[in-house]
Amino acid sequence: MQKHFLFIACFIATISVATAQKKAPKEKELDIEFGKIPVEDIKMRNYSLDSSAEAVVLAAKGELSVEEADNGFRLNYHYFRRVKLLKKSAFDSEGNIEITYYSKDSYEDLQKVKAAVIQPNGIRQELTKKDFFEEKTTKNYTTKKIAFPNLTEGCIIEYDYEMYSKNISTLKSWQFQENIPVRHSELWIANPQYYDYVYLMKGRLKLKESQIKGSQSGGVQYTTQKMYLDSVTALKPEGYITTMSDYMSRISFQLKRINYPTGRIDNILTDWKTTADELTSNSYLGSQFLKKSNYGDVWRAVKPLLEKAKTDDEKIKITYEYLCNNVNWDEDNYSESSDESLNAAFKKKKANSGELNMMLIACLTEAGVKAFPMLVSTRGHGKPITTYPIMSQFNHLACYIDRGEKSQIIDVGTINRPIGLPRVTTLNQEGWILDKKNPRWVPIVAPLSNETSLATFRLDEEGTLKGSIASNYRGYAAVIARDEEQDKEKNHEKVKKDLTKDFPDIQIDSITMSNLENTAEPFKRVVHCVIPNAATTAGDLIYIKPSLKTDFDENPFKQPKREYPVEFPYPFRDQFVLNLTIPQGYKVEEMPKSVKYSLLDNAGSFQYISSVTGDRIQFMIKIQLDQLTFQPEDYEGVKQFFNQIAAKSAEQVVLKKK
Amino acid sequence: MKPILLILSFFVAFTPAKAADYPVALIPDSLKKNASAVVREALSTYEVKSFNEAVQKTRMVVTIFKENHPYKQFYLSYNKHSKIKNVKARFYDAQGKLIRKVKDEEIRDIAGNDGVSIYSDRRAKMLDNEYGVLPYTFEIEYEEQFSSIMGYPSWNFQVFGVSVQRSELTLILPKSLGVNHRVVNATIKPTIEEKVDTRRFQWEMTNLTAVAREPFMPSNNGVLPHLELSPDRFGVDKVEGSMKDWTSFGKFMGELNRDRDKVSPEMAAQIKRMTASCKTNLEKIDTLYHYMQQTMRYVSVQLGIGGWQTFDAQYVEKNKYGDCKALSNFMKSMLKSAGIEAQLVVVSAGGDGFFDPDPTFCLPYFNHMILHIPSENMWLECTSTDNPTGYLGTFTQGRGVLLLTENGGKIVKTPALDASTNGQTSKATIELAADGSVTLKNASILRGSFQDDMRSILTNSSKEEFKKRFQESHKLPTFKIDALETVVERKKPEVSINYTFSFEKYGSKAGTRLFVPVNLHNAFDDTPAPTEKRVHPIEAGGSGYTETVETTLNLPEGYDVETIPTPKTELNSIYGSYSSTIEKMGKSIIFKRTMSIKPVAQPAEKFTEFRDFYKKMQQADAAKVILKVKQ
Repeated sequence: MQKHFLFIACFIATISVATAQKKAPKEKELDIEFGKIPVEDIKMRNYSLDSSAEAVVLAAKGELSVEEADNGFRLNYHYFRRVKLLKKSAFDSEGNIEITYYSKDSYEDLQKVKAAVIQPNGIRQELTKKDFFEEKTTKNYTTKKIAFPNLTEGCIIEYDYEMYSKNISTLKSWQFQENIPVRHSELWIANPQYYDYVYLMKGRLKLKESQIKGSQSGGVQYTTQKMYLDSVTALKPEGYITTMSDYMSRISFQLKRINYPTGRIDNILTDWKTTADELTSNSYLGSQFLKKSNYGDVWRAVKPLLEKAKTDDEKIKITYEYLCNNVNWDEDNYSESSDESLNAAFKKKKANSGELNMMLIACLTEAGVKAFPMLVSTRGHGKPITTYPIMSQFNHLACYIDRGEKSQIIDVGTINRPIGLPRVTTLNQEGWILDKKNPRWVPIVAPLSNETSLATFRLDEEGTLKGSIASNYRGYAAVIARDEEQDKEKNHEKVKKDLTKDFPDIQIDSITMSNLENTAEPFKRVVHCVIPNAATTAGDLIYIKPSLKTDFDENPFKQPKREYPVEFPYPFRDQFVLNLTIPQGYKVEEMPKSVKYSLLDNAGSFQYISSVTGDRIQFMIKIQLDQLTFQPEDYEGVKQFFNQIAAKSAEQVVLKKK
Repeated sequence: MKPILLILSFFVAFTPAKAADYPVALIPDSLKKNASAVVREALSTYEVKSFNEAVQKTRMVVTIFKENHPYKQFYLSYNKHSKIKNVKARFYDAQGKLIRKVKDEEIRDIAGNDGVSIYSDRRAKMLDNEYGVLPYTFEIEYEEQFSSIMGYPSWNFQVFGVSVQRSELTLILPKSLGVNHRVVNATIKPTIEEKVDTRRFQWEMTNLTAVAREPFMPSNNGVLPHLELSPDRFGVDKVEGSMKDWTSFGKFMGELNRDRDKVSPEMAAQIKRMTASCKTNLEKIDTLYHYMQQTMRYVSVQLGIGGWQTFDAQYVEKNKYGDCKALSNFMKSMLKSAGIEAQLVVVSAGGDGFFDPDPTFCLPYFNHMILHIPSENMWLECTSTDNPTGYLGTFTQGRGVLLLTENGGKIVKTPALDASTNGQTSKATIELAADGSVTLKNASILRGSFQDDMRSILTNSSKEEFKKRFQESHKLPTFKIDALETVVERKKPEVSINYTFSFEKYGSKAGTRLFVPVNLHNAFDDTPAPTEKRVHPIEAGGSGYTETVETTLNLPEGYDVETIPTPKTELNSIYGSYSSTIEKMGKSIIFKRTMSIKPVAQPAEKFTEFRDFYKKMQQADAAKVILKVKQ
């Protein structure tokens, strides 16, 4: 986590102003203070703006002061929070607090922790040492834990602390919105004339801001500003979304410029061009794939494999496959830089996501293929901010092959995910190309996922189907299907399980696969089977549901309303065709009608086509989703779309004895 | 720093494998089959120095074949009574050639986290075993020093999905100390060697082929071989105890938790006030239990004697919180103050895979505490904020537990839930319109294990949250919740749910016909997946349950019933019984169904029969009626 700050750390120490008073000046008008609770709040028994709330933040306040310490400047972060607990269900979520800080080498320090519980009758109990626990969580982190005693419905808890941090390049971020309602939340930022910050806001609510005020303290000019929000609604998580944190109202800060007392100015947050220059020589990033001392071992292993490779594509493929097969991705370890060095990771055959791709970049560069790092904020990490060159937004690095129209994003990981398919988590709008000459944002276009199945069956009078289902998988569908078949000793366990879930009586005669390893081609799987009781028989009649595939039988969107957009990671096509031969002596009495639905304006479509020729019937179901983001006002449309698919899939054919 | 000492200890503790000691080629093919990893060697020596001191040296060499294997992380737990020392680890390639040594800084020292405690003084050394090229071999050695003994270690000769070339535990015991030992799921005997002052026991198993996990397999004692050891004398700090038998161990636990059950005078006065109007002991218990549920919350802080000793009653009084021990002890204290005697009970909690103690072999693998009131033969789960008084729920029902009495420990059984106490009764009316849309009105009563989760959600979350989850939990065609009402019975394990759902498309239309499911909202759809060759015996049915459903489907004008495909289903087996009928009565169709599931333990050969019963229930539950427009 520290790497981002490395290249500015050296400047900070150089500013030192002889002053008597080292604290940043505090505002006088603060009425939100530990211990000063309005009587109405103590008596309050429900929150009028949200009667369902189990707790409400009455007031939260943060003060970020960049102030002078013994050795240059540091951040003084003063935190305060007061919560009303309205229901028992909030006792654990609000009453057990953890404050984690980076304690290694006193990089951060936690002080003056105070906490209190106030009963609805006004009795106040200050917490004592025995209520606080300090845990040395890891080598680098310490956690202070508080278990609030004496919680009752209607009580208030409040706590207050100061945290000091040597990190003044990205200040603590502040969350105005939470999963419980917030009545008032405010943040103060006081910074000396030497440091200018960029404010980055997220979420949909518009912050209210006070006038910027200037003041003096010990000869240093400070500016102070307050930002606040009132009556913030609770943020309730919803499914099919990139990450809820994209919609949570919050603010974070990034150091933009240092103004030295001497008049010199250092632009920290410069522009993308300067940032690209700095990162190119950064020892955890650019140097990793540019300096042979960092990547030499990787190249020595790859070089002989490339001897016969002629084209760039061959070189890319060979290197990609070598890395997928020989270096483990340390699962869920995303990073845009190297922890130690590429050689060190290669020795362990275990690397973070950025290291894997930097290994690829290093080898391709050696082999004469132009490859650039693409810095990415993964879906879970939040949408990218393209306006400022803010490095802390990135948590992943992919490889970008620049070929104009035919440019490619390559994202080394597992062998089942072929070249051309980045990690699904990478599919987050745009990535930034670290190209010294031309740093730029490029869109990340989500590749298509495609699944087509052709089922050929003969139905007998008992309602048994005999035949086969041949499926073709491309794109992400193929990754999922290949993953299921990865362990050959499992003997198609997952497929069999899914089929028996839908058809408990199924007898599977054989399963054959092709292109399991050849990921450049679509993955194919053919299941030969007999399905007793696939149809219902009654007297002269046979009823059968032609949609043998049940993927869309259940609508994933069940809630009546939606607050935030629906976001799909990638577009897909799903096609199912059934060629059915009906039993001799039977004729079609009733057929589901052919229909076509479109989702909004060509955002997607659903087609159901049925036809009869003699004793053969054919059904085709085609589902297509092209648009990936749907605003809440379009939610009903999305829900109805999947509803229509589910309803149509349930329809039956009726056959009657001639 | 004393370098000489360092070198010496290195030398003693770690004799690195010679190159080519562990080439993959030396593993027999039979051991590679279905194995994600092969344990080449797992050797551990547990040397008891005195009743409260021991050293254990462990060495393990494992070859990894598949990406998903159980040895990805080594988590070596310790606390203030123990130390982890001399951790050394190395990686070898398929030929057995050394690839690299794990550096000291790769061994992380982290706070121990049991997942429930807010704070615990446990810590752990942790290191990863990951390498990009398969197969490879990992070797680890470490030493544990114990300055307190809270039982001897168990030894698992094998874990699932892994085969074993050689696995061995050696116990070195001073002659002054005794041990109870037994091997479960295998018939091996130790070799015993007598020395002057010590006795040396050694258990060894070799060439164990990989065993896969299966659903519905025995969970309590499992199926894999393991060794259990219990000391006849042990000591935590200076406190001494014995695991010779349950009586002695119970005495030790009782001692440890003695005299912690005095409430403050203020509390005593309050208890008197609260119970003043109670006429019977039962009323007093109910009042006090309810008071605790309303007032106290569960917060686990684990300090000192490894979670065996409770905080005293006044700790809970003061903080209004505690863990299972503190809350049980507090309840006991309140009862004592009200003149009712209660006993602490230690138990292995969980709905599945709990440890069921053997009355003849003392091995205290417990993780929870509850309370027993002998005079009423009543059991109290003191961490629950919603259980009716005296109800245990699936967490601790029907199993052996250790009762801490005045005269020591005693294994007794908690009352079991069964098919008569668990289940639900549902009554519904479906109003079907000609276009296939539906209004479904349902009234259900959930009982016993069926209401545990629902009760907890209803007690602990808002109505809105419950509604959201309720909607998400139904696998039904898109529906709207028009009404939803719930009642949680405070005094019995029962929850009523009444709801009205409306569906735009419930029945599916095909020209002149309408296909209408009769039991969609209660349909059983959890048939076990078939297996080609069942290996393990079957254990299924939980503690059993009974579900009764009656649904009236009112038909729309203009339609006639064309077909009722399965008017009657009757299933009877050792696994349970099922019966359903679908009848036409005037303008309605009545669906009635009762299913009763029994807990069963059956040999592996019965799997097809077992599955068949569940499958037929699923098929019967999926019943539809087919309506046709009147001509």
